[in-house]
Amino acid sequence: MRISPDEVIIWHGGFASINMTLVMTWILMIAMAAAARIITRGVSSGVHVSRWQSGLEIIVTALKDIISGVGLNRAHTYMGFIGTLFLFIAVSNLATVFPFYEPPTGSYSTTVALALSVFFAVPFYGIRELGFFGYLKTFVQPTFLMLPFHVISQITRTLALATRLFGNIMSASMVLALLISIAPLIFPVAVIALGLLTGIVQAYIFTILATVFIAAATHEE
Amino acid sequence: MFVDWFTVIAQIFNFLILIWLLKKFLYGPILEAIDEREKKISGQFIQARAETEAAVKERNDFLLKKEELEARRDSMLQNASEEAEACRRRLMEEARREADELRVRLNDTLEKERDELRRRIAGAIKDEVFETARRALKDLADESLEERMAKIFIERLRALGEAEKNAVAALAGSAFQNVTVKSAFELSEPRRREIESAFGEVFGYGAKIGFETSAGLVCGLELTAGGYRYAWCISDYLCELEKSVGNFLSVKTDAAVKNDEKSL
Repeated sequence: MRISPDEVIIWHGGFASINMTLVMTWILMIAMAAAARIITRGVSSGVHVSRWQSGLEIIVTALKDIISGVGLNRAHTYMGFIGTLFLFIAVSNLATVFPFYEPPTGSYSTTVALALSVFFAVPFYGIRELGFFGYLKTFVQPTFLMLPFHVISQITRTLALATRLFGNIMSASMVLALLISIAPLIFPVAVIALGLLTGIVQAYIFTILATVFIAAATHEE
Repeated sequence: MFVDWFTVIAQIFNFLILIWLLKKFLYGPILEAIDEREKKISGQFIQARAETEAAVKERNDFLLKKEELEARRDSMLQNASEEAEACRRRLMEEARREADELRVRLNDTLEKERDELRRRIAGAIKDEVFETARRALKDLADESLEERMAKIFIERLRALGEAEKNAVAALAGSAFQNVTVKSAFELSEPRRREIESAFGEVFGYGAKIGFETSAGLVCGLELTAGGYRYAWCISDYLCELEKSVGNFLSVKTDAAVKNDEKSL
C-alpha cells in the first residue's frame, strides 16, 4: 500500500525528482491563483458585490479575525503567511473529493516543508518585531534556565506540526482506501465527509498553532 | 516515514510562491476593497450623523415654530371667540331693542286703532241717538206747538238785554232791512204780525220780515239778519246736547284708553 504521494515519481534526474506531491501542489497553486485572479479582477468596494467576492471576503475576514483574536494586532502583516498556510492546507484537504487526487498534505515532505516554514517564520517575525536581541531574550524568559526547554520546544513543536498534519491526512486516505476495498458502496462516502471535516479542522489547528507561535515570538514579556 | 528533501525544499519554495500569488491576487485586492468600503461606510456614517444632527436641529426648530404657531392660533381663536361673543351680545341687544320698539309701535298703533274704533262707535251711537230723538221730536211737533214756541220766541226776543241789543244792532248794520224768520211749520198770520211788532219794539224800528219754513229746525224759530242769527229751536238744543255728549264720550274714551294702557 502506498503511504505518500511522494512515492509516485513522474520524473527523476539525480537529486531532483518530480513526484505526485509536487504536481498536485502546482495544480493547486495554479487553481487557487487563477480563481483568486478571476474573482478579484472585478472586485468592487461598493455595497453590492458578487457572491464569489463575498465568499472570499468572508474567508479573508475570518482569517483576519483569527489572527487578531490570537493577539497579533497588525493582521495585514501576517495575512500573507498565515492565510496562505490555512488556505493551502484547507484546499489541499478539501480537494480530496475529486477523483484521482492525491492531497499534498498527505506527504510528509509537504508537512515538514510547512512546519519548517513556520519554524523559520517565527524568528523572522520575532526579530522584525522585537529586534534580534529582543527575540533572543524570549528564550530566557522567565529565567535563563528555560533556554534549553525553549530550544527543545522549537524543534519538537515543528516536528509535532508536521507529523500531526501528515498523520491525520495520511490516515484518512488510508482508511478510505481500505474501506473502498472492503465495502465500496456507502461507507467511503461517510469517510470522505469525515475526511473533509478532519481536513478543515487540521488546517485550522495548524494555522492557529502557527499564529500562536508567531504571536508568542512577537510579544515581549 | 519517508522524507524527500528535494520535495521539502521545492514545497517550501512552492509555498513562498503561493504566498506571493495570493497576496497579489487575493489578499491585496480583497483587503483593499474591504478597507475602501469601510472607509466609505465610515464616511457615510459621519455624513449620516451630521445629517441626523441637522435633521434633529431642524426638527427642534420645527417643533418650536409649531408650538409658537399653535399658541398664536389659540390666541387668535380666543380673540375671535371673544369678539364673536361680544358681537352676538351686541346683535342680541339691538334685536331686543328693535323688538321693544316694534312692540311699542305696535301697541301705539293698536291703541290708536282701538281709540279710533271707540270714537267711531261712540259717534255712531251718538248720531243714531240724536237722529232718533230728532225724528221723535219732529214727529211730535205740530202747528200748535209751533205757535207756542213762537210765543216763547217772542218773549225771549223781548227779554234781550241792552248789551245784547247793541251787539245785534252792530252786527246787523244795514242788513237789518233783510230780516228773515225761519220756522219748521208755516206760522199763522197773527203770529207773524206779533213777531214783526216785537222786533220793532226791541230794535226800535219796524222792518219787513220774510217768513220761511225749514224742516232742519225740527221745532222752533230762527231769526237771521245779515251776519246775525238769533234762534230758539229744538235743533239748537239737540246740537248743544250732542256737543256736550260728544265731549263726554271723548273724555270717557281717553280714560278707558289710559286704563287699558295701565292694564298692558
